[in-house]
Amino acid sequence: MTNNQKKILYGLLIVLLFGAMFPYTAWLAEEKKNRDLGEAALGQIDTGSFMMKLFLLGGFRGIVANYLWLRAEENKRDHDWDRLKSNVDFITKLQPHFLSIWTFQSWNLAYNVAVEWDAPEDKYEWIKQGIQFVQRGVDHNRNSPDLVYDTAWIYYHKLGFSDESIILRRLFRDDEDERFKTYRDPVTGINVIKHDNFQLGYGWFSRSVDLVDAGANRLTEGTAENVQQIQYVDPSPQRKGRPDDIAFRTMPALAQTHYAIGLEKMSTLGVEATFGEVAKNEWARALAEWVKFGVRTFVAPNVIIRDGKEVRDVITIDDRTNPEKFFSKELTDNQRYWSDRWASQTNYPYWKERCEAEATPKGVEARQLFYEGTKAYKTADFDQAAAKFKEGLLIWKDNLKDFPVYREDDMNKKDTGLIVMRYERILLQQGEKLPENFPFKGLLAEAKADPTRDPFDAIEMLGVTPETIGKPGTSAPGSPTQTQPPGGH
Amino acid sequence: MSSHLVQILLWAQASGAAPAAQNFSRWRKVLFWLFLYGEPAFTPEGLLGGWLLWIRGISLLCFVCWVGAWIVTAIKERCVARGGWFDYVGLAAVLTIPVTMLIRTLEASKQMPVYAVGPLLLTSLLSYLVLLVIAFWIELGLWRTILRFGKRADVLVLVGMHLAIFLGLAVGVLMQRSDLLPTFVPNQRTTLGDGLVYGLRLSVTYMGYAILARIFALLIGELLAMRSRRIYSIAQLSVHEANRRMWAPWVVLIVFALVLAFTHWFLQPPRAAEMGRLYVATLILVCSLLLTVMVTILTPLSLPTDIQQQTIYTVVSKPVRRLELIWGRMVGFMALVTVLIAIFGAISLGYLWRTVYDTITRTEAAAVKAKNENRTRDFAQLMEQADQLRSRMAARVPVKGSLSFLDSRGTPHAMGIDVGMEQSTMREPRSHIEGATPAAAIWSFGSRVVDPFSPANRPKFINRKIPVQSFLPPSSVEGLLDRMLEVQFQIVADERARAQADLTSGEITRLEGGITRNRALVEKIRAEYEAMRQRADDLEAQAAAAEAAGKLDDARSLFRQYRALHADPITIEMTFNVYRTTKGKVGEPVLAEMQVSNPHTGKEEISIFPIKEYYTNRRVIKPETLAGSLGDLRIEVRCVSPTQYLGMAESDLYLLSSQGNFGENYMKGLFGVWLQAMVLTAIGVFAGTFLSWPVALLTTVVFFFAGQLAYSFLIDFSRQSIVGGGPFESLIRLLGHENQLSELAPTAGVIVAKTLDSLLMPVMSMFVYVVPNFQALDVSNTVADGFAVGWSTMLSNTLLALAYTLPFSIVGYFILRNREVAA
Repeated sequence: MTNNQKKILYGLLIVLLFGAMFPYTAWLAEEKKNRDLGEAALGQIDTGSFMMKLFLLGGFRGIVANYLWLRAEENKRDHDWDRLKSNVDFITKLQPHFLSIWTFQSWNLAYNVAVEWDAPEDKYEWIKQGIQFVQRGVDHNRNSPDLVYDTAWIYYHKLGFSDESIILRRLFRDDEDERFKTYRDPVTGINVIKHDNFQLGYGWFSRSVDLVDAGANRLTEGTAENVQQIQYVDPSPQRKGRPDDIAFRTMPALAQTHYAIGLEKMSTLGVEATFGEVAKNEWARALAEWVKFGVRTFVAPNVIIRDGKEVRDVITIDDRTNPEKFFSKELTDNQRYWSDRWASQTNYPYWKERCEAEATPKGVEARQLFYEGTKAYKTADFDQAAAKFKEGLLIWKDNLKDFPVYREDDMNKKDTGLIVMRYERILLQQGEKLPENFPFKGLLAEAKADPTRDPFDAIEMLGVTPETIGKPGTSAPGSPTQTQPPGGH
Repeated sequence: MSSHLVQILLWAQASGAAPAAQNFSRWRKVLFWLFLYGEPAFTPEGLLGGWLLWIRGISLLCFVCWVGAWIVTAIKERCVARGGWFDYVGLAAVLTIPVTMLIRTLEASKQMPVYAVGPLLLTSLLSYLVLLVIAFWIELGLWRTILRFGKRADVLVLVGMHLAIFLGLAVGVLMQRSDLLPTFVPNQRTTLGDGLVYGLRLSVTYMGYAILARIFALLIGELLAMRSRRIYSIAQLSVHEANRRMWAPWVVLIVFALVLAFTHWFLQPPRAAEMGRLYVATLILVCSLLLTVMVTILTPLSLPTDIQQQTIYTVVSKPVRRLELIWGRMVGFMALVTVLIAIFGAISLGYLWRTVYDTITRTEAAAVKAKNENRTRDFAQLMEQADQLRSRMAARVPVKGSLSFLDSRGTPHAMGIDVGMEQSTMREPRSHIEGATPAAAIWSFGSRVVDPFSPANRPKFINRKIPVQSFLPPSSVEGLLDRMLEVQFQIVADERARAQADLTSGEITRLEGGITRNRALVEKIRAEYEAMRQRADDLEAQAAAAEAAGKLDDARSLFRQYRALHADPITIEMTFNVYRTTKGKVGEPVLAEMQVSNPHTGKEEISIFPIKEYYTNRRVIKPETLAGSLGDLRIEVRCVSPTQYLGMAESDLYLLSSQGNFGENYMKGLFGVWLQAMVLTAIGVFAGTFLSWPVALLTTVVFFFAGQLAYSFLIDFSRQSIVGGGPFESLIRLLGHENQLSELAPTAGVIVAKTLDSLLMPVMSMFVYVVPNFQALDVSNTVADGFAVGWSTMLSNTLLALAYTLPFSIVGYFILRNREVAA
């Protein structure tokens, strides 16, 4: 062959190969979509991440990621928080599908870094950074229920249960960043903006539970007709929502319940408590969530041999709160055992009954009277306080007649005992004594021995001040001119 | 130079014993300087120390290179190593070295008992013998080769080296005689032998000086023959080569622009408060990386490709000196780097201005909105963030004091309480003071402040004087007050001196004259001061009247005039950290009390304020407090909140002398990058003189990584303080999955490895000093933190960079001179 002929032949081959790439790429993309393997299937594509991975030729990613981790730990030791955050961002750009780093570093930012800062506003900023960090992780890994759960957990636990939660919840409420306060409502499917961190927790927990359910369904039904089960070489272990994870499924109900609890006291600094129809509805929703959890069927972990066959019983936790069914022959001993065990593990009877008790008109009214009475007590308006306490306690006693489990609960007894103790004090000041058969008189002794306060109630922690009742502050926090209510009870 | 003082004290002590002090002291001074220039381990502080370190290092390097070069020639020309008896003896000596190390390792791991021959250990005896034999062999080789092949100058150098040996021995013996030998235990008895051994140590350095003199003589001819127009043309050639062959500067510019344009791909938007810091550090890092990569690729390629393509003939056949080739190339590349840095600086400053000031404006707007909506916490937070960002985009000049503490009982200490916070050894130590106790952190300013770490019976003084003129301009009311008080203090001091007995009449007249003059001066200044103060008060009254009358413009201009007559209030900035033992009242900050007192006039100011952790807290004091201070001040900080602690380091509190100019400071930061590029250019050109281009490129890259990333490791390595042994022992540990701290069982392999390590490590640790300390040239952290880079810092960095650049380029010149440029 002459040179020219060779050139033409090679040229033709190149063009043919090039042409063959188009249908091949299309087929490959189709396969990727079917097996959920492509980047787009895993999550949103990040140009910067792509660029960095390309630049490092893929292979050096691990080494650079290791180096960046070490630098991040050094930054943490030197209290160089902003560099820590930027190093951690770089690592996630290099390895966005490495789930542990999203979980670990979001927790690191929201818990470890936040605790090092003194001012609550700065703590809030770092908690927010932690949440937004793991939300980016969710964007990159849409099918991971773990990251969704971690987001929900930080909203719920760090903002809701930390020592500064009354201030943090206020900062969350005032935050103008609407994207940060949005979740997709599980029932209606539309994005809603809420101003309470517990509501955000509820939304994200629900999403996590739904993802697990969808995943379970997908695994048994498949997304396409003849889909093969993919064997991953090194699959990310799923932390949350495994079949035996009962506590996981209680989280949406818990978040909603804590939202309702927070509504009926000043759990957000400067925001008055809400009662009436709103509170009732929220408690009713909480009840609905608990029942939704309760009626869900779980499979017992043990295998029973019945009629010569190996069988796993189907357990419903709600049965425990239904004495007729629970003690009847409808349930086997094994079912009774697991239902009772899991119910006490999740405290289901308590929560269910509490929601029922608080959702009644009497429950809401009693709570309102306690709240207004406490405010009056703290501002030394003793007549008002006495009247409210008395009326409230009577209604509360009447309400709790139907709810024995909640009535005997220690936390409830402590809260109620505090009201009774304050009422007795007022009476003593007025020169009277507590009547003999006064409701909840038996709780007095324990209440007097207990000096602790409710850390999630701003009136208890800070008293009635311009800051707590929402008026503009006349002096900076911490200045000696601010009036302090008498400490203790 | 306190150790200098200690030495002088030692000398003074010793000379005090001898009555004929005058003649002796001159000799002692000579001896002292000979000691300084010879002893490699002792370095005084300051510029002198740096110079000594450098010259000693260079001379040792010259010594090694010169002797090595001649021995190589000797072997090549068969003057030695041709089977003579001395060759066999030398070989036996060389073989004895590993045997000696083996014996020492066995003794160290207790596999064999320690032998001694007379007063010496076996290993020491063997080492001395080996050294003697090898020295004799080298002597022989040198004499034979130089007498045959060397020029007269080389023979002179050899003679000079032997003179240097005698000088070293003499100095050693003299020092021993005068009881001035440095010993491990003070007042240990030293023998003549010790003096001789010490003298040998010094003589190695002196021999290096002899060789250095020869090298300087060689260089001087070359330096005088250089012409700037030839350097300029070589430089022009390098620039053209860089531009046309590789489009290097354009590539770098485009990559820089791309990175800036798409920063949001790589950088998540950080918190507003420290955004400036992150961006500045990142931008300087990007500039530095791009430029060093460009230099690393360009410089080692230029000479080797010339040699390979034989275009070097066209250059060397012209009357171009070899040194001009080297320096011309360096000048060309550095010109390119300078232009690029100027462009980068302009672009990144523009980018920073736009982004950061945008953020500041937005944050302040959000703060105003929060205030209007009654969200007090948000308002305070946003204002703090904008403030912090502003303070980072400055070039602050701090005036720092010396920190000491009082503990909870009021006893003075050098450090406060350790709360268990993990601390980095690279940073200043932090300690804490307890709240609601007499515990205090005290910053002392002045020209003679006692160093808190010096022992109580031998206090050391440090200078932390406040430049009062920069705070109280002489033309202001407070400046005049300060001047007046200063003169009054002088009068008091003079009167006290006058009151002393046994003064000469000359001194009395001088003092009295001074007192009279100063009294007149005080009256003059007092008159000026009163007049100016009156004028200022009048202006203030007029301004108030104009404001009351509604003439706001007039009021403003009058008020400005009033302000111009007074000095600005003095800002004290501090960044403490808070350590809480209980949460306290939720949302309540920790309070600090600051007491600023002028020790001479007794004026003081006390204030109590909340501390915001990780932000720059700012307090302002009246300028009159500083008047009459003579540069002295005392600032005490106490923690007011009970059960809480405040933590501080020495640099955490300072007086703010000026805000400075951020743009200028940023360019100073880029100058640090310029210096790094200069050192790398020298290394690249040096590598290109004798290596092929891939190896030269790799060498430059390795130097860069070693100096930038691994420098601290290399320093540990050179001090042989690496945990887990040297390379061979580490290999065993790695393969056996042992950690660095466990004891290895003394098997044969381990013994051999330890032996090899003890042979290798001292040699390798010498080479570590050849690697330049790139990290020290990097001032980007100072710029990012918003502090000014001082001119003295820049000068010392420049000298450091030159200390590496010059030797590399000179060595490159010698290599180029001696090689055949045919590829």
